[in-house]
Amino acid sequence: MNIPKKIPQDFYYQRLLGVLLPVASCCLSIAVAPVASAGEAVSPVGQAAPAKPAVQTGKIKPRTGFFEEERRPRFGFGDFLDSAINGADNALSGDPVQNTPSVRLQPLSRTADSPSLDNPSRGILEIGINSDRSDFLQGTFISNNGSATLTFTDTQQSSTPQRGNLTMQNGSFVIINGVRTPISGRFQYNGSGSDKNDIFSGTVQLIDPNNPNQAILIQVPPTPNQGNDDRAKGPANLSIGRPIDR
Amino acid sequence: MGIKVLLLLSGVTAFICAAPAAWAKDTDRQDGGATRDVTHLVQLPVQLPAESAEGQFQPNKEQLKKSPLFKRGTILGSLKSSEILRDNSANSLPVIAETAAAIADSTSLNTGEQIAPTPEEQINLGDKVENFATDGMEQVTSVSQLSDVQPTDWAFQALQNLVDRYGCVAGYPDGTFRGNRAMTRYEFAAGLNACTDKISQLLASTNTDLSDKATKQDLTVLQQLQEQFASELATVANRVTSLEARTSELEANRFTNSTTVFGGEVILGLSKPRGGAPPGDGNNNAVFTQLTRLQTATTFTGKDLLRIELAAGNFSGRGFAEPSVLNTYTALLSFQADTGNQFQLSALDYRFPAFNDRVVFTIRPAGFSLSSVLTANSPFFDNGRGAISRFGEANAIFKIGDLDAGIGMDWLLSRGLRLQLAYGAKNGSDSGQGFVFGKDTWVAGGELLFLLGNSALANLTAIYGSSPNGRLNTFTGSGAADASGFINQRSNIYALGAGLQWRISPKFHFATWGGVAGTYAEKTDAFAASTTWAASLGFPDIFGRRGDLLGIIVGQPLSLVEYDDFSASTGLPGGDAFSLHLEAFYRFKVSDNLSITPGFFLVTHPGNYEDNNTIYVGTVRTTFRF
Repeated sequence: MNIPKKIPQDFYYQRLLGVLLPVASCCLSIAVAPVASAGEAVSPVGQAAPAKPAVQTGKIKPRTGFFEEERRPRFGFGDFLDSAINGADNALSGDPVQNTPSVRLQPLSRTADSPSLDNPSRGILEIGINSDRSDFLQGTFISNNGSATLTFTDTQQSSTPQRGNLTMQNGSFVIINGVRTPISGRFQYNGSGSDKNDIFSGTVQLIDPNNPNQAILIQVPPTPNQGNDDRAKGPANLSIGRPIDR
Repeated sequence: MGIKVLLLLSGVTAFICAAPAAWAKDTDRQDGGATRDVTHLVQLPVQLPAESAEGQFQPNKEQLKKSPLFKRGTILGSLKSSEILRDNSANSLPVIAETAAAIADSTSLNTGEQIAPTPEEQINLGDKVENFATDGMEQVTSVSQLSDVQPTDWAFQALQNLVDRYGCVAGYPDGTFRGNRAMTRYEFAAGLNACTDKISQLLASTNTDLSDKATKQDLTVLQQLQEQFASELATVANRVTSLEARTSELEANRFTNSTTVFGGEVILGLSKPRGGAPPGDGNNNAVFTQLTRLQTATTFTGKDLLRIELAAGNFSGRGFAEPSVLNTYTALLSFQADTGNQFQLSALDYRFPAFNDRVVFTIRPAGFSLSSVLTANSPFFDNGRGAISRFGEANAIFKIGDLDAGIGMDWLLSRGLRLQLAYGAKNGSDSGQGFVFGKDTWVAGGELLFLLGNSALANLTAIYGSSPNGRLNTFTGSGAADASGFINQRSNIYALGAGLQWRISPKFHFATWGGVAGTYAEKTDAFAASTTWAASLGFPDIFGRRGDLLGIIVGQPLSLVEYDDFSASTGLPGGDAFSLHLEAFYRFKVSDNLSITPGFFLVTHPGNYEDNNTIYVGTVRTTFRF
């Protein structure tokens, strides 16, 4: 399936320029660093102290640097040992997020309550994946327990993003901030997938233009395509909630 | 006996001073032959009869001059070895100095050839020396007898002490000392030995008159002091006894035989968000949080280091990334953690050197990230004293994988180049996942660290890994980028990064870093690429306040820039807006143990959504360190 890239080329190059900036700066510094170092007595990044003997005698007390700022990368015999052993640069990764279990990346940062629909819900997604056909990105999601049947129709393939109708045939709804909200109507949606050696994976995300903070996300993990080259079919997971960054 | 020793030492020293003067005439005096001669004569079994008496020996001076024993370079050793001369009477050894000088004169006759002494010569050596002692110059008893030594000479006091108190120094036969002439190592050794011998004898001899060392008045004063401070002395004695007992108890019951030090850091933060809505609901309540880290560092060999770190924090949930607040991980602070104020092991790290200390290996079964081994090369990589945002502290590629355990090595290739290799895994302690190329995320990284001159440091970093869902999990940028477009399948991760720190002057430094990460699905053709970069200016010790730091950071949080065959959660609508991070902080150093850092940062179009409003986060961070 070929889906146009959503990101304009100029935007891409703008960001690529940002990546190249550090590399260019490195090259620049290589050219001018000797001049700088020759012209002034600086507080060096790498050589904060003259080389010290690596081996100490007698009762040895570890020289600790508990704080990143004191851990300068150092080179040279002795200095290197102090830097690498004592963690002069990186003994502590300083990543307290590792100690925060709730910081976990999920497409939906918060799921909506749904008394009439399992959320998330397992089901079968069948969708057109041939962009040359009129049924491209049109299809259905049918939950395994029959609580929801979603139908995607009337897609506007030339629109960016793609737009189409979503119909919840059995009238399921979710509770958003205490408000009963039916999952039905005209949604903006983005869908894409990849097919390789009859293994298909894909994602469809649907947003109600009137409530962009809520999304319907259907994820298809890599699975053998039970359909054909024009229409993919396979197990999928549906979840409804608030996307991250929205 | 003491006087005899003194005179002997004086003679030896005099010789040391005098003989080289003659040797100096010989341009060949520093050859190896002299060394051999000395060695030989030191071992020479020269003996004097214990019953030798004053005037008993009358050897001929000319005979001695012609003796092969007194060839160039031999006298010093022979005299050094002649400790047996101490047993002779005082009067028999008064003027060794002249003897030595005469002997030294004889060196002008020799050819440098070493001739072994006959047994008869060995026996008569002491006799010959004694003979010279009878008709030479007498030992000086005052430094004033040395005609070329003036009270204004810088070493006058030293010479005076040595002559007057110990008799370790004597002059040349002509009454001069020639203090400006250089001495050889042999002369120095012999002279030093003579003086130490003299001092040792004085200390050992019970009959030595110490009147010149301490007067009766001194002793009386000392006794009075002892009496007056008797109670204090007794108290001190008791305290010393008590301390000895307590020290013994501590040594017997101490925690470990190794050396351990303890350190820690407490970070308090008063922070408040603004903006958003979207992203998030826009709640903007201020929060007061803490992060405490305690760490021990232990060495077993003096070169290795074992660190154990416990951490506790209370920045509830995701902090400002909660959906009710700003709902974006670009709002994370660098010092936020949530353990419910319960201490837990946050890092366990052991490092040791190998290969002639040029390689350091790291084993870290808890709290590992790539930056545990790979140098982040960021001036603000410090939770308590650096950047206030998670994005601003270091390149996001060092955070790839949200790892748990890992190993690594740091190799000093040359004075300006280090190679660092790291491998880490998530859930590596889970036997169902595995540590080595396990089922969960694993990442390997390599970095070259260049020292450019004395003021710049650059890094080139390459990372390869595997993730079961294709997520980078850096928590520094947009969710779509961090999740590789929610590719949601096992994928290979490739990342490249570069960075530079440049201390342009002691009070101004520039830094920049950037990275690109590509995620390739294993089973399909899905692909996603994300980039991030930043540039920063640092002003250490600004306004003349040592320890203060003004930091300014501008950059682009991790953003999804390209994807093939796959996308989600982007373009709904937007998703391609440029997001900019701008941060400034000022760290006030109150003391070595306390700093206060007010700062703020903003992010435009968080998550790259065009209709997302700018978010703002301000904080006052107080950091205690001990």
